[in-house]
Amino acid sequence: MSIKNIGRIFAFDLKNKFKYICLWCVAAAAVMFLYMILFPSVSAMVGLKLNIVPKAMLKLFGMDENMMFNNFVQYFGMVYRIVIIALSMFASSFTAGLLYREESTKTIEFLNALPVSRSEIYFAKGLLGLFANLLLIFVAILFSALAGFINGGKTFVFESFIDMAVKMSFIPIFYWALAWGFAGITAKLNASSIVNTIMGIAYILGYIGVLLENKNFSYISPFELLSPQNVTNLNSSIIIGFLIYAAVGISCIFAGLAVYNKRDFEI
Amino acid sequence: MSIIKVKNFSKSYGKTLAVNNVSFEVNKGDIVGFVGKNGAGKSTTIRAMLNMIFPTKGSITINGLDSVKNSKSIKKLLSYIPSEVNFHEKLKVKDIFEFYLKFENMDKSRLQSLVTYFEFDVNKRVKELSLGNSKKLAIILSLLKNKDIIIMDEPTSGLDPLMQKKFFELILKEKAKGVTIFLSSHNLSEIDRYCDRVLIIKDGIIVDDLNMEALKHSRKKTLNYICKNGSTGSIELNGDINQHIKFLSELDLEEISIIEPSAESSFISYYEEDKL
Repeated sequence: MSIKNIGRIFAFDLKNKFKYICLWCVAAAAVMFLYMILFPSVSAMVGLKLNIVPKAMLKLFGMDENMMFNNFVQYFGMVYRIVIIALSMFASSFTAGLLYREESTKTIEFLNALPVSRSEIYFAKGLLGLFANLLLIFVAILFSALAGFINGGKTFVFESFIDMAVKMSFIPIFYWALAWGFAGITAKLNASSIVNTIMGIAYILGYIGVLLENKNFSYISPFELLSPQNVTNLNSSIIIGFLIYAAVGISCIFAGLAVYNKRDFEI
Repeated sequence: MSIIKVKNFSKSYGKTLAVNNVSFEVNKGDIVGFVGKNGAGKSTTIRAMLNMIFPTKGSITINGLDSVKNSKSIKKLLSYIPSEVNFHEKLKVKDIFEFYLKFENMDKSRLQSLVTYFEFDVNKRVKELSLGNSKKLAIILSLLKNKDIIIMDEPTSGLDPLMQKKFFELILKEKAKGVTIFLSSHNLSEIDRYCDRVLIIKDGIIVDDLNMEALKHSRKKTLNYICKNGSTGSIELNGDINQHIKFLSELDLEEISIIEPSAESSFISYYEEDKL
């Protein structure tokens, strides 16, 4: 496998997708900054309004009734948890699309005719997916931190903020791995649809688990496993859950690679 | 010396057998035509050569290298023009050239001369290209680097007659350098004019392997005549030509015409359902 070839395909695709990635970055930055800069007023308003929202509804959006809305880091966790659903969908559709669309639009005929191996194509696409995903996460966290420095006050504790942000950011990375692997396994179906369906089902199951107050059941959803409350109070079952998700993600990547090297292109 | 060897190659998609036990060899420096109607298995065979699909049975070797195990090394030896040209639509043509040049460490002067030769505008975006211009782009990319083999799947579809002529002039130059050309086409006159050999594939099976030189010699011309009294006749021009002249001299002729069988008539029967 040639690193040079991976780099060339990576750079070519990056050029092709640059505007799209930038648009997502701008959207992520704008949403996070807007919500976080309004922290004092929004949190006060939300705190009042939440009293009239049913508890089940709050749980659906990961808002614990004990959550402190006058704490910047907690408030960030709540906002980021919603934004992270969008980031996970981006991670899945962008990464899967890089592989899937080469086949659905038949551009793979030209790419594959170059002196490159299938593994090089697979890694170039997956790594670009990771790069875009990390860039988006970085931008979201950066602009949240910026708002924190401007308007976070004493409750903005940078170390706690970064700790929560990094741990929660595992969620879109998990879905990136899943989408990359599935896109390697098949191009008959759009892997992003498969992963987004899995994501939706897992989210609902996790929510049901929360309603039933069954932690193990709720951990079917990475959104529940790595909820703001859980990442600030790590225990052994959360760490085991995290390791299982990591193992599933890595296995999916290697299964995708193995199948991609052996399957027909869908052209 | 065989540079492409296809041995007992079969490809099935579920229960559908697309190519059935195909075997053939292509000699170095030949232009070999690959003819058959749509769905006969031409593109399937070509895609297997490039490891875009895997053989269900059999093997394909190119320059002694297995198409599955040594795919990357094979692709260093060959270039490919697909039947449908698809590139990322938003990109500029020059971006695509830049990308290809990086892979092949190619000389930019070669690119410039090809661009000029095919009267091609590199500043356009891919989505702005017509079918013919997309084909030109694919042709230029395939000819950028000196390769040992060029595999072409309907390369001239969409090109105007002048460009088709220019394309084949270039292909003949490549052949003169010893490049092997494997050409799948529905344009039977270009197959007739430029190929050394033609493989006919029908329903996934090679039904004929024709030497074009021998085929051209074996084609019988027909002389049609109309006499002044209105009677007509035709003579197959084989054997001693003087005998035919003698026969004709005894007739009171109004008009004669000599018909040379076209390439289409030589191949078209292979496209028909009842042949085999």
